[in-house]
Amino acid sequence: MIKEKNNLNPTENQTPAEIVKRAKKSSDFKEIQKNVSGVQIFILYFTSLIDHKTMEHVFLPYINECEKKTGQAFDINQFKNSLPLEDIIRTKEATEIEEKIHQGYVLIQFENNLDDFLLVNVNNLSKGIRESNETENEFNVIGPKLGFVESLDTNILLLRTKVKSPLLTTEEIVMGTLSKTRVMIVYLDGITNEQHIENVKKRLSEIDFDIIFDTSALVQLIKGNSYTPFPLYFSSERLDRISYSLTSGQVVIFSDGSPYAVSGPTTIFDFFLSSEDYYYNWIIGSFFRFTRILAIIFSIFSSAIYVAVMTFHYEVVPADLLGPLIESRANVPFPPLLEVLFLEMTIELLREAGARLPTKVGQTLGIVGGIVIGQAAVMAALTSNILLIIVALAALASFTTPAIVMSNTIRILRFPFIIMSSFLGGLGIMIGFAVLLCHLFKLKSFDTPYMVPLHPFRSNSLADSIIRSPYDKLNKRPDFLRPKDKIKYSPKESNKKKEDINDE
Amino acid sequence: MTNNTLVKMGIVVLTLILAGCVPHNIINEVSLMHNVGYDKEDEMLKASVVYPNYAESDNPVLITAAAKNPSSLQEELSHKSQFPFEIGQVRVMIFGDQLSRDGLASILDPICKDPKIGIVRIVITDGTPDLILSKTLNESPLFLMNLIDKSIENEGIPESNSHVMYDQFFGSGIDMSFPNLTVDSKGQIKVDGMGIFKGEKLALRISEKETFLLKLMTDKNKMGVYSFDLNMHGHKANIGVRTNYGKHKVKFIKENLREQVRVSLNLDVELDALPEWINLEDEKDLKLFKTALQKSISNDAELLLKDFQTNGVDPLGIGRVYKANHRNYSEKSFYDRIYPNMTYEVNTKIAVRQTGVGN
Repeated sequence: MIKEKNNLNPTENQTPAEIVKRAKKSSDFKEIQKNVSGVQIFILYFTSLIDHKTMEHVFLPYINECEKKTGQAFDINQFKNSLPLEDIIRTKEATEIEEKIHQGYVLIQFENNLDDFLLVNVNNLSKGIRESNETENEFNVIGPKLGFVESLDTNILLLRTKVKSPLLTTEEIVMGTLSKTRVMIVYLDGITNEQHIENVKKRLSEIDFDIIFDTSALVQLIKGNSYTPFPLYFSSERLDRISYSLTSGQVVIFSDGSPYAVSGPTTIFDFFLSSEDYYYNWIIGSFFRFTRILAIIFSIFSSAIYVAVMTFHYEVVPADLLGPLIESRANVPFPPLLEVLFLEMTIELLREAGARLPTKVGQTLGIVGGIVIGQAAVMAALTSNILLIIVALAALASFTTPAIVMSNTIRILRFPFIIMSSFLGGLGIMIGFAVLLCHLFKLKSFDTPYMVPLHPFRSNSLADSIIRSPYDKLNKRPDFLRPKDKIKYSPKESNKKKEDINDE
Repeated sequence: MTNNTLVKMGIVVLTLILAGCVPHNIINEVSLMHNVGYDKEDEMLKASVVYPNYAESDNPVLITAAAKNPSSLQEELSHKSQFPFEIGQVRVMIFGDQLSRDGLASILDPICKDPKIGIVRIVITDGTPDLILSKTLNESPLFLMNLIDKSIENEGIPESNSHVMYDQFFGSGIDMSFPNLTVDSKGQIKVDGMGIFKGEKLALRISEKETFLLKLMTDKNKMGVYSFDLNMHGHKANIGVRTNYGKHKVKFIKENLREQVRVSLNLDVELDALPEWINLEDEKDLKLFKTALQKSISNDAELLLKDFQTNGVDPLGIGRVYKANHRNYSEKSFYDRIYPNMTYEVNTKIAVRQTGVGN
């Protein structure tokens, strides 16, 4: 496809008057005329974008005051300086005017000087944005429940309250030809490797897109390799999780209007870390993390192994299990492949329907779907009892992944494995697994290998991968991120005095 | 779409199409069996199979077929069953008396080559396998397997399965031995002694007591009960002793130009039912009892070894021990010249570990 320069950007070569004329086509564009010191002024703004409180209590009363003072000669500079509002811009640029009036600035035009304009900021950024910033999708039992919201400034504020460091640096880029979304790159200056920052900036600046709906859409645009089901960048709505990525030397991208922040470069292990792991004691945290990784392996392979064993390898079934297995499958008319696909699709339908329905209806659906359909399917001899258990467990296991993007990937991955196993049995699963590993080893996130620290093997970065080591071992930033400062904090040597347990 | 992608997709599609050739064995659409019996009848090989019939909750069925060679035997069996005959879930193989005497090689060979067959308990019977199998029809499908496993685990039968069989059959310096199943006068299946093979042919049957002594001298697991006649303080009684743990060692010693095999047994025993005239708290009684037990075990074991010697069989693997110690070992010359002239000495050491609460 040949890239065409889109001509949606009409401000070029336009005069301010044309801009105003164009804006007046919209019904929510207001104009107020006032007379200050004998000069006619025009106050122009989008009534939907401004903060009416500021407008009615500060801005308009001030103009009225000015109207009364008739003695003085009018001076723009003086007018600008005495306005009791903080963000006032004096400009002649048509582009700037166009941009600012769409951000909730009030445009003031003077009759005696048609080229000079004043832009006064009376916008209200929190307008129309939800109040609650509790995390809704990534839930934790303990630990803070603070998450990001749709407003970029609120998000940066939240981040700055968490990381009160002069190193925290933000860089803003405006993206999207129609949406003009503010996208912010956040990193720790002097810690995050510049290569990553440059990489992010370069990839973001290369994007040409109309509306940036969400950071998750942004991520797809900057993705190096789009032929992969794996998420190459970590996205989270949790403040603590994103602060952790930031401090370990990753670059974080925020975009206005999205409650999800994206961090990179990531490795596959990042998706299995829950911030809760760090709030529990390291033994418990490691156990949970280990369970999660086991659950994922189980989730991907269990139904495929069922198909392989039922179709090809009846020899491996333990003798005591053979009876129940054959009994439960005896009246099922389908081959194991169809049986499994039928149940897997049922679970997918339930999940999809549950996600689209309101919460209250969703719960009912869970009961109807899970119990009624499952039981009925077994009674009608469409599936076997044992498969029902396996598939339900696999579905349950796939939801243990803390990152939703990864849990979706895992659910998708099951299907190729099921199909391979129905064709070639255990060999098929192994071929599928080999292909999957090859694919994973090839993936890169911002030019950092995705499977690090497993491949390339980095033994010193293993401390925070499959197990969550105690805090005094976690004081180093991962080497593969090439941070400029490797030490996070220096744990104190604990004085190991051998004390009698009874020594009070 | 580039040419490269097309090639890759083509490979995947081809793989899938070609994979259609892999035979399906859907678990409820094959005839699985747990117990197979082989025997010989009038120059014909005969196989009997019990289908457990998990799918329909009827009783299991006994099917027999006869043919001249093992391959046609499988075909014959398939003719009589609803689904294809699949041998992968076989747990117990029973060889009839006639077949065991004529040689098992023709049957064991295909078993060794079939990768589907896992660990199979191989047993022989002194009657026909049909009889044994027909007695299991009313039991659970895994009755025979559990019966044999349990006997091996704690009832004085040496370890015996297809892996042990491969070792004994193909290895040099050792002969095969299989547990023997029999149907007693009340019509119940019972594990009764063992059959010792010379090469592929059954050469000798040993009793239950001898089987346990063999287990003591070959296996790591020494669970089992040994009974002996005790003559002490003028009283006479037959006493059963349970061995729980122990060690054995087989050594060669050259004595007067004759090879002597010295077997040392260290056994930990448990005494639970002792007559009241033995007081184990008395050092003298304990010593007398131990000496009597040691002597009895040693004597019985020596007799058993001599029995093996006269029959020319070596289930203990003495040839293997000899091979480990002698450079110029040849199986033929060992069993022709050295084995018949060996003397045996068994030293037993008993440690009484448990006496039960009552004593």
